Amino acid sequence: MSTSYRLVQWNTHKKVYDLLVGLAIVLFVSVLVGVSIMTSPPGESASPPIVLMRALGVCAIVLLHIILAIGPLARLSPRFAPLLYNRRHLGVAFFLVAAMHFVVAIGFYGGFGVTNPLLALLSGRYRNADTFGIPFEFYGFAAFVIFFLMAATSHDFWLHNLGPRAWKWLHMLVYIAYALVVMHVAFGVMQGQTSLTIALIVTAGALTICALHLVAGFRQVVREPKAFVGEGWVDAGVLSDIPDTRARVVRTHNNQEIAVFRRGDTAHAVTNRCIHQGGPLGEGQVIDGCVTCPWHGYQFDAGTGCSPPPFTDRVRTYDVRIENGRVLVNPEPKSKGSHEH
Amino acid sequence: MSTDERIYVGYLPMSGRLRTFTLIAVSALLLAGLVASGIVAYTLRRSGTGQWDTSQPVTLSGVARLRPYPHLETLDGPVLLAEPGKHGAQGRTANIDGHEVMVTGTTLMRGTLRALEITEVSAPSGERVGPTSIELGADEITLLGEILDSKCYLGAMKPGDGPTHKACAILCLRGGIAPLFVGETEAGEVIVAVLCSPDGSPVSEEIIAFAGETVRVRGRIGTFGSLQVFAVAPGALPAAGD
Ligand code: FES
Repeated sequence: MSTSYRLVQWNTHKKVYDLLVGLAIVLFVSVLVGVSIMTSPPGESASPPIVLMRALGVCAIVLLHIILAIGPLARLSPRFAPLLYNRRHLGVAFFLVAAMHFVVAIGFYGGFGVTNPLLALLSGRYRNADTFGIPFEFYGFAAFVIFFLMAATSHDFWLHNLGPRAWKWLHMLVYIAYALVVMHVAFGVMQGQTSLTIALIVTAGALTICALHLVAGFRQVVREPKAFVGEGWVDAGVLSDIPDTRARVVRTHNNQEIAVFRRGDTAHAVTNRCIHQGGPLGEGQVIDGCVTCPWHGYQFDAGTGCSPPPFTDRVRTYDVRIENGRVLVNPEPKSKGSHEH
Repeated sequence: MSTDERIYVGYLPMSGRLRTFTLIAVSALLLAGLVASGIVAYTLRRSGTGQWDTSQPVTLSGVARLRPYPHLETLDGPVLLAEPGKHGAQGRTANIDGHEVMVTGTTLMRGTLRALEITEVSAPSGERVGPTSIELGADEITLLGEILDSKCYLGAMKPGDGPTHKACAILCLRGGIAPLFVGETEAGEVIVAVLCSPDGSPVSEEIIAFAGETVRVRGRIGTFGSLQVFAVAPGALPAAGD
């Protein structure tokens, strides 16, 4: 909704969010370092850089789980929306923690030697058949490269320049990166342990993430109404069945999703896809006469589809009419969205 | 959230109920994460009893030996020598092999095995003491254990063994740090010995590549001066052991 790019469009929520995330990370790493040192018999504690590297690694993995859980949680209940709102900042914070883990690991394990530190780590296990001959560090490194790309393109500038589709695809790579992180742990620290605890915790984490995604996906499929398919004007059902200021989503014969909003006795129809990141406008609300996206709060006039000035964004709108209390929508767009010509 | 409530919009103030819910959700996530990681930190395998006393340099005197790996024969037994970082002391010991010297450095120690990270070596004194030769037992035995770099194992890096340390171990060994074999005989006797070739020369790169793994190795136990060694023929590659 920006007319120009600012580094971050700050507001109170984002500031509080970032402050809490920062504090939580510091608390987390300190607790882990403390626990590691205090629970070791005297003289048997790990070297300080290794204690720090482990704490950063564990903290990064916990953050990654939280980041991956927020999406499905927010789909399961709108009450998680405040966590979703600023997930990108959480993502960047995660990246910074992972980067510190990376730097300490490369420096301490790969440094001080006869070869380049990165090469020293990545070529370590070439002859070993039981892990496909791939050093466990490689999985971590590959994941890190993906996270780097994501963090580097996290700003809306890239979203607009890559286009929402390409951007979303790039950011879906997080699931591949997550799998790489699990392998990094499974072929690395897990191999050297005598107890199964770490294996169990990692498995529990992965199962939780999978289960949340499956449940949220399943609920979405089951919940979607979109029964009103047909040629010509589409029947969106009885107006009074739609809660005031909220929407019902219908799907047209050519597979477009249209969000039909009720405002008292009238109805408005706009596309269900937000032009920002494709958020589900139909789960939003009409606030101050504007359809408001539930993801980042972009607003579009319910009648014209235009963002209020000074913003210049626009979403598709559709004609509606009300007959015998039922809302009918014309699947031919009345006006086009920002990037359509 | 009931539908008469406003949806959440980031730049508008949150409702009281939503704020409470968010607070609870965030605390729950944080707590779950902390507990899980606390358990991880607690259960991680112990890091070994190696100690590196960097606070006080010590000076030891003895006969410097280049082979199989740089060490100092002192009256209290052998002391392995290493340079700072992941580098062996071959460069500095080459010229003083067999001579009485004073070596200053910081002590790394685990059990009875010691090493010095050198800061200074005195000029050699006295006559060259005749070369020590390797003496090996007659029978080949198989040991199950791990090839490690002595510097990390003795306390420079904790933990200095296992798969996560493999890349570092290889880096140290390629840099010339003395390799150790830490393992058990079939009878269960624990052996900590410097790994070398049967002629008393360093081990090959092929053998170094197995560092950090649990392996079965055939070779002969013996001594090189006062240093306990495990001699492995260059072609006798370790086998995976589990
Ligand atoms: S997707 Fe970001 S505001 Fe709609």
